Amino acid sequence: MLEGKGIVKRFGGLVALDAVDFTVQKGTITGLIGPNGSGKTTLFNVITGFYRLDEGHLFFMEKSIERKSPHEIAKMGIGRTFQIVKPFLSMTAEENVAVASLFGREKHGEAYRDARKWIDFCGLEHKRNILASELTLVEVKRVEMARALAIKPELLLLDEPLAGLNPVEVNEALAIIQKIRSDLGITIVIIEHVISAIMRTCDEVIVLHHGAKIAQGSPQEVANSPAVMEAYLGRAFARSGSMNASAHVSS
Amino acid sequence: MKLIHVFVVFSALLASLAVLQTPTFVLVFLAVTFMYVGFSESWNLVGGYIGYLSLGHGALFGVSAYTVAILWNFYKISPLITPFIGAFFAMLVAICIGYPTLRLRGYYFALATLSLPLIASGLVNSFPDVTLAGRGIPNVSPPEIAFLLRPNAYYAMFLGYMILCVLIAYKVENSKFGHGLMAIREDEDAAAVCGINATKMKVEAFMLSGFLTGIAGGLFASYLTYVSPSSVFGILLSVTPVLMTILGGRGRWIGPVIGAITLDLLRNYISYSVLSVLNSLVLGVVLIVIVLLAPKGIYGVITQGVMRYVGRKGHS
Amino acid sequence: MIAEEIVQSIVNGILLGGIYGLFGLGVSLIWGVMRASNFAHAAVGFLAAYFSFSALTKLSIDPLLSLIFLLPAFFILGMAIYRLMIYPAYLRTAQMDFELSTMLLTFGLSLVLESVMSYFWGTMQVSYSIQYFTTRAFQVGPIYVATNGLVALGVAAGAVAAIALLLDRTYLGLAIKATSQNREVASMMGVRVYGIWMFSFGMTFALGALAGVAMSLLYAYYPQGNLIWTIKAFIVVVLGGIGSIAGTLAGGILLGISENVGSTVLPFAFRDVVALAIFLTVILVRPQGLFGKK
Repeated sequence: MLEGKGIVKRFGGLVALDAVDFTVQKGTITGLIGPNGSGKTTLFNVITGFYRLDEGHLFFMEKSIERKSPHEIAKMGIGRTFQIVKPFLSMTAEENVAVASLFGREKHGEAYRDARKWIDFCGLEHKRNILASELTLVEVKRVEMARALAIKPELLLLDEPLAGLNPVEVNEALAIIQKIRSDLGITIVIIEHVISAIMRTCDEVIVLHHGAKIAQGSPQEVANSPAVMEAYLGRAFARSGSMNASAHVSS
Repeated sequence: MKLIHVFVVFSALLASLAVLQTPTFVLVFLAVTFMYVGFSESWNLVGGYIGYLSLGHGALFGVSAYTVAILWNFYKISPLITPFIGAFFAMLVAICIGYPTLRLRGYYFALATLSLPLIASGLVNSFPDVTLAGRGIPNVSPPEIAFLLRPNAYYAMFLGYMILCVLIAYKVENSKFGHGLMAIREDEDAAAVCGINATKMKVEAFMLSGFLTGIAGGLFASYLTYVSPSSVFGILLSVTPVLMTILGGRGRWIGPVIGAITLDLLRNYISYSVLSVLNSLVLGVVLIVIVLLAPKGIYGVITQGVMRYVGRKGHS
Repeated sequence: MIAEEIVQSIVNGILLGGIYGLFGLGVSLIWGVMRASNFAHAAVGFLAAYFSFSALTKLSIDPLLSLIFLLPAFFILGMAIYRLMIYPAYLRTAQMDFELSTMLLTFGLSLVLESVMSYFWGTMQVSYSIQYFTTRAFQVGPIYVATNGLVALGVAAGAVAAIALLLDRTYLGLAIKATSQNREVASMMGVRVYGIWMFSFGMTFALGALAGVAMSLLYAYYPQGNLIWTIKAFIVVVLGGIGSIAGTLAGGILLGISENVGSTVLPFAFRDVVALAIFLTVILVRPQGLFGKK
């Protein structure tokens, strides 16, 4: 579904992405993890067209997307949420989603009805007429998810959807994410720091460190990889044993 | 019964004044006000819905005015037809300017547009063979309209223009296009991931705005009966729709209507009662007061008051 | 002969450019420190010029001397305007709207100042015939160098030197630089950010006053003409880049030269067009300026 080969992205002298190869299979939930500054959001920005890659190739559903602008990529079927939420503040939750319904891949005579559907899917029915500027962080994150769904994506990129959520909210969000895959068949890639959530939910995990991919595989494989343990925990991995510790790692 | 219906009905009633024995000064005052309503509505398409403050809209206005004047002066084409040609040229100018400048952040766009009327003025002064430079082009007047009927005719034309602009603004506001513009205003990146081609939409809005502004400019040329750099490229002409829209409330079609009427009443009161130098003073003070105390304009003040009275929106 | 004309216009351009750079300094300072745009900059300068004009005609005080009173007065005025208009606006607007809000606010201020000046001093052009040297102009070969222009350039250089000294050699300057680079961190280090802002706003008004008086030595002025000078101050800042004092002065000289050379080659009315065309080009191609950092 999504494939990157040798992706390099530089900012002046800094190499943010260093010859990254990766694949994402259709219908999977893939986790993208790594210490802060390892290039995860940069990779998302390259995939969605906000940054142009300096070297390498990027394919979505067999088509090359290296030179496309963000709105073209959205129209091709990749949706995303942002690490720092970006709602349309002067609009209500429903209006936020309706914008995506209007401009997404399918034409809708009834954008608001469509928006309603996604709002309900993400569990926000009771807040749909509240202005985005008055919603809590959790609710805004749901709006962003509903908005991303409203463009009818084949692939959904979620950038730290669980940041700032308490454990109950984390479980609710994960349930929605899994529902997105099982009910809608959408392929998902998640950037997260809450390792336990990644381990429970993902079929595949990709690990980045200093802009390079240091591991890709099932959660178990990645958790037991020495390179990953060293990247995350440094010398201390000897003490805590393995990545399967339930406490989430905040770098 | 929605507000827009009220507006249309009211305007239809106003149309009757054209055929009654209305005093000339009333017709003149209203005609100019109508023009400013329309001008401000067209400015609002970019300044309010997208949030890109164009501080040089007078350039578009003046381009059309000069087109009309030149076509009359050299080719004797009636100034009743040529406003549409002038509007077309204004639209072309809008595309040329809009395409490079609308990619910039709002602040730089405002700076860039600020220079436009000055450039236009300079260009006019540099080609005196065509434009008669500083002296201006006089005697721009449609022969079809009898002299005595001029006030009534222009009253009717500007009234029609105002209704056109308000209806277009209303239509845009409630359309997919308008939603897209407002999404761009709120967050351009988020709009992009919803599938919105921001640059294209911004330019389209600017083109529409240019065309509508051009109609006003074209009509104004024969209304004033002359064009000169100071009369159409002056800074006051560019700032007035900005001020009127901000005063009334950006981002809604009703804002420019409120703002234009209020400011025109204010200005006329001032110029009939005191020194005209106070014109700038009033504009300056109003601008400062609005930005500091009522950034959402008069309409914002009204809606906030209503909301506080009725209760929060969507309270279940 | 053409070569002579061009060299003469370059010389004139440098002198003019010094004044443009001087105006640009104030705009650059306030933009760098608080991301606010001051559209009343030239209006303030003109106001100072008018005061010095009255001092000259009524009290026979030399304009440069009257600066001794005007600079502190305008400094205080700047701080007052900050407290009354700019700080309240800051409290009410988001970061991105602040730039535009201050633009509108100060533009309103310039309209107010314009009407005040028109009311008290009329709308006709004012110019002086003061000379600081025994001749109006030095002659170097066939080229004339206006002596008043040299005075203005000297004032500009002095101002730049003073600002540079302030920024590089004093704790206050350090605080100002820190605030412009990273406001949060500066305040965590103990810098009273809002105090710095107020001080900077006072400084920008004082710089504006200085620029206005310097300008009045060379050029005629009238109240409505303030906007084009303000725009040129912004052009200079855009050209020279934010955060670079030398860049601003260089930008000013560059602008002055292009205008003057442009108007010998092209029709006179093109003068402003040249300036604005340069402005547009730089904004479109390199918004951080020729010397500026992003």
